[in-house]
Amino acid sequence: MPEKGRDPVGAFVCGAGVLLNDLWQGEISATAIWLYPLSKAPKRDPTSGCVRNRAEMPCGGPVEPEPVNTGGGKVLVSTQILSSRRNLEDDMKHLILAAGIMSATSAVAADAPVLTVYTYDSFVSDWGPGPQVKAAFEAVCACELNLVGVEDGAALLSRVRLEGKNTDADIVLGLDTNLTAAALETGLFAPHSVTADYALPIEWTDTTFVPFDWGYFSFIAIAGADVPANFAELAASDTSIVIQDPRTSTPGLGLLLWVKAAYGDEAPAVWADLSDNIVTVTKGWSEAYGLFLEGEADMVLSYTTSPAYHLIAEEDASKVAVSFDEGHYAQIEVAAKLASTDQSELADQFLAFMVSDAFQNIIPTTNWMYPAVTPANGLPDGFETLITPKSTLLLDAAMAGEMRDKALTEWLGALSR
Amino acid sequence: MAWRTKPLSPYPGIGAAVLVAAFILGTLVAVGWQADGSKGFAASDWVALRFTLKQATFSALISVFLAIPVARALARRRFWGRRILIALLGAPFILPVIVAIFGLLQVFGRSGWISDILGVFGLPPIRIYGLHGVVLAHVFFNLPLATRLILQGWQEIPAERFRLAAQLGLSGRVMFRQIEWPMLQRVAPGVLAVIFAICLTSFAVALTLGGGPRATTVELAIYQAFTYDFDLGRAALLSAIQLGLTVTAAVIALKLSNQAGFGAGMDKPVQRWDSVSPIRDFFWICLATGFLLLPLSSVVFSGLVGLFELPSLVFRAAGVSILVAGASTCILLVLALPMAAAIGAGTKGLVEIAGILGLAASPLVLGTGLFILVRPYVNPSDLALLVTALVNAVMALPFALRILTPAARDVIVSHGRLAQSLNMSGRVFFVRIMLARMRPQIGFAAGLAAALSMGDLGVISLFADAQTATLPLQIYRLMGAYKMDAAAGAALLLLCLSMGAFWLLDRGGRRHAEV
Repeated sequence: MPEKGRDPVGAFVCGAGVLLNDLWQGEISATAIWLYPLSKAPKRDPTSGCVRNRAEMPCGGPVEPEPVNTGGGKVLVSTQILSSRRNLEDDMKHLILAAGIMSATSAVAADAPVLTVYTYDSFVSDWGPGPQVKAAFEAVCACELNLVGVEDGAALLSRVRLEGKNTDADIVLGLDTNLTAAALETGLFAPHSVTADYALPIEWTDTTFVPFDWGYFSFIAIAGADVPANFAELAASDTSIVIQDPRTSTPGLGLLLWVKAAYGDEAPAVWADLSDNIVTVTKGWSEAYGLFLEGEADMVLSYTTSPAYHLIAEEDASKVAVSFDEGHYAQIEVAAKLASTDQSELADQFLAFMVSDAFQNIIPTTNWMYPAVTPANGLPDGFETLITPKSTLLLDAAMAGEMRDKALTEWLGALSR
Repeated sequence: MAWRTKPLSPYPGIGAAVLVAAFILGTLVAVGWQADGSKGFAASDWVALRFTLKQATFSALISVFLAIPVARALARRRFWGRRILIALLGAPFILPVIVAIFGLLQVFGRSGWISDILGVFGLPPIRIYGLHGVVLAHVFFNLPLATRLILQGWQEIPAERFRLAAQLGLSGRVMFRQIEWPMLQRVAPGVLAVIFAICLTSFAVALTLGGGPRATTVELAIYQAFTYDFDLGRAALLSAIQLGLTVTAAVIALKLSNQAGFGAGMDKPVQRWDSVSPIRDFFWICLATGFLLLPLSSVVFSGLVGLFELPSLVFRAAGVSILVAGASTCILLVLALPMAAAIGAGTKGLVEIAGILGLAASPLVLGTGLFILVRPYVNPSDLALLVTALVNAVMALPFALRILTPAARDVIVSHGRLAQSLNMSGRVFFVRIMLARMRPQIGFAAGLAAALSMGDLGVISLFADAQTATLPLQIYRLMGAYKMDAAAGAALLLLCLSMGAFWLLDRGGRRHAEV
């Protein structure tokens, strides 16, 4: 037996016991740790990383309202982004407690209203638009913007359907036109009154959903490679592709409807011809794009805007979008207000903010999509290099909803052989 | 004191088993309850079910058949670096799925190392996508687990048995039949059942390496029912089928498994005199090492670039993951130890089956069910980390029981009568004798649970708000933001943390291996 001092199992159990014991004995006051990072620690601006406190405001913008302890409830925990490693320790204590203490209600700071927006996970990620959007909206709304990330567009809609009329969401942001028919059917969403000078490839007439960005689906290849000019050429060539599964991923569903919109009843035959080009089908966009970068396939299904990321963020011009002469299927991402919201005015304010420059300027280089309304200062440098498809394909929402299941059955039939 | 036939009471274990079963079935019922109108079982689900069964059966059989010679070789040989090798061999099992896929493809993919070498000789690249790819990936994941569990079986054979066999001049084959085969009969069916159950719920691996919708598994159908169709009834039905299949597999395994133990020994280091020709053993060791460590080393190589440029947020997420893993390990031990003791004391059946359910439960159904259950009372994102730790613990429970149960049984058989004659209370027996005797297994189980929890994306994506991201979630987010290099770096960090946690806790578990 190893000596006691070097017994990791024992030490582990013992350590956990001491911690619990201390907590019980009141050695560590839960509330004290809880509040410390909120009240004492300098606040960090998530976008610029600079420290700000109440006396001076070097970062500009108003200070977040001081959190108020609502009787052991949750106190603005989720809004704190403490990004420095120095704060990791506080942070961890903080998280232990966040996990361990159940608050009976989701209490919030008393003096500021909270607008809850459900969106997809990559929107709220630290590298997505979320942090900047939050800072920008909170600068004008005298409110707290609570962004909740749910996997992807389809999972987002499922979450809202699961919660139904009792949903905590005031706004759902991140559905696309292939999902809006199903979303509308739920009767959970309220009409909007937003008008804007949209830069969309189609005229926007939807009275429930407001677009916030858009893009074209496209295959991405390595610059200089021999690429096909349409699906027929692709099927005839031995170019390999990796695509996403329409059952689990929005780009996958986009491709399904792209082929359907371009070929109608001949779509099954096109898929049958494509089947020997498809290296594999992945669950989501990340896996597929990763496989392409690893060299597993010559092309991957993504967006015409994908090369902009490599060009702008990595100064790498080696990825190009491949133009198909059938036209490219568009994805228009939308948001809508929930009918059950208790923050109706604030939600309207957010939807109007969403099509303003403050929001639209953030989109191109965080979500890597085209803004729904071109901001006054135009698109970032690099976007002018992207291909412009000859024509736009897009099934309208009702049609897309109707076609979806039929197209999926055809796809499964053609590729399962 | 009342007369007892067993040195300790099985009731705490039965209680834990009931809790686990209630947790798993309760979430399932919650999901089914919420359903209104369902398409029910579709024709495509039959296809998915057939494929799922086929790949799970192949994966389990091949993993275990390969694991037997590897474990035997490792049990017979002592060589420099053996301890590190045994620890490293556990790594694939605890890798996050997406990281493992990329590692595998860098070796076996169309432009992987093997294809590159074949290209030098003018041969076409190997085609990994298909049923064989799925099985290859599952063997990659599960061979280490099977090897460790079977190796543990070997290590539990008292050294005196081998000494006696050597004194009697038993040849390798006779020794195998007399000592090792009964051990395998005891251990292997359970390992088969566990791996079969893991592979039943495979989803992203099966789809990606299966090469398309032919490789649709039941778990994918569940995901589709949730997100694409929003058909909760069908999701619950499919999940119930998964549970049914797993229970069937577990019952068959219990029936096949030979329960007789080896009795007590003096805990002397095992010494073997039967290992005549080392060539065969080293062949198996090298084969397994190459197969498991090549993809792993590709994970390390691709991660090195990104490792030094990791955003500080990744370290924050790592902190969160360590917390979740710690909590998960504690929950696991609290559940698993009484359950193992109860099984060891003869309460088999229900406790064992409850223990294996965690594997078959679809994480999506578990998470959604919990979400439905807690939402009326609490904001689910407040519980994100606790729920993640809990679900991870339940999922690690089947492995922990496989590790702990044989040892618990041996402790009770070999020390139970003495404890009773000393009129030792159940609690004292549990704390003073069982925990002390089972230290290696507890360390192994805790290490495995911590590492598994660290690498599991689990249900956090259902619950987390923007700020409470675990490391695996942060890896997905980095990939979603095109930052593949940073994601690879974070994956390497995760690999190090998982291995570190495993190494630390498992130290005690390699008692035999250290001599």
